[in-house]
Amino acid sequence: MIKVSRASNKMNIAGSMTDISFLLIIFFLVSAMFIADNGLILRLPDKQSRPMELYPDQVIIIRIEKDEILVNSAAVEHSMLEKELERKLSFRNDLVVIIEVSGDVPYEKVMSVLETAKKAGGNTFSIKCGEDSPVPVKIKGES
Amino acid sequence: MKIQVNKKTKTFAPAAMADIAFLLLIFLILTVTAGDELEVELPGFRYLEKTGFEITLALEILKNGKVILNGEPSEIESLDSMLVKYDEGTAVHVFADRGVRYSTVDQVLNILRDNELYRIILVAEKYSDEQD
Repeated sequence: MIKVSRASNKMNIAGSMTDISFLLIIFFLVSAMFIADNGLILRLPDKQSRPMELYPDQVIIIRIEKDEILVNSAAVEHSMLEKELERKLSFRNDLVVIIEVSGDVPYEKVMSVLETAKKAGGNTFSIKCGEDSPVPVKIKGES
Repeated sequence: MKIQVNKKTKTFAPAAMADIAFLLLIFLILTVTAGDELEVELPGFRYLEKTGFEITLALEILKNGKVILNGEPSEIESLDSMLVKYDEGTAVHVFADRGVRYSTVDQVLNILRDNELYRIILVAEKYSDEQD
C-alpha cells in the first residue's frame, strides 16, 4: 500500500504576513526612488554675459499679450502656434526664439507658449518681460 | 548546591518580524505621501521633461506674490539675502502658481540670476487629456 504524506493543514500566517509586508516595503522603496518632478529645465544666462547679437533673420519674435499672441508682429491663434513655429523652424532650425511677455500675463500662458515652442523644435530661448528688463538679445540694425 | 538557570528557548518568532515590517511599511507610506503639500496650483504640461535633479532648493511662488523658500515663508524683497548661502551649482525647483503674474516670476528669476543660481527647473504637472 502506498502512503501519501499529507501536508500539514496549519497555515503559517505570521510567516506569510512577513513576506507580504516586506514585498510592500520593497515596492514603496523602489517607487519612491522614481518620483521625479516634471517641468522645464532652464539655464539662465550668466550674470556677466553680454547680449547676443543677431540678425533679424536669425530670430523668431513671439509677443505674448494678455489676449493675443503675435509671431513676428502677426497675430496667431494659440492652437495654430505650433504649426506656425514648426514651419518657420523647418527652414532654419538654429533660430533663436525671443519671447516678449507683457507683465500682467499669467505664468500659465507663458509656460504653455514655451512648451509649444520647445515641441516645435526651438532650442534657444530668450524671455524678456516688460520694457525695462535687461535685453538678452540685441538685433543688429535695430537701435 | 547547584542553581539551575532557566534557559530560554532559542526559537525564532516570525510574528515579531511581521510587526517590524508593518511598522516600517507605515513609516514609508507616511513619508512618501506627506511632505509635498504645495500651496500652489502648478501649470499643466503635455510634453514634459523629467527633471532628474534632487531637490535641494524648492522655491514656491504663491498667487499673492509671496514666496516660500524650502518651506520658509518670505517676501520677494528679502529673498536676496536668503539665497546668499547657496552656491552656484545648486538647481532651483521653482513651483509657481499658474495664475501668478509673469512679471513676479521674472523678478524672482532675476534675483536667482543675481545670486549666480543659473540652473532652474520650472516645475509643472502633467495634464490629462480631458483637461483643456
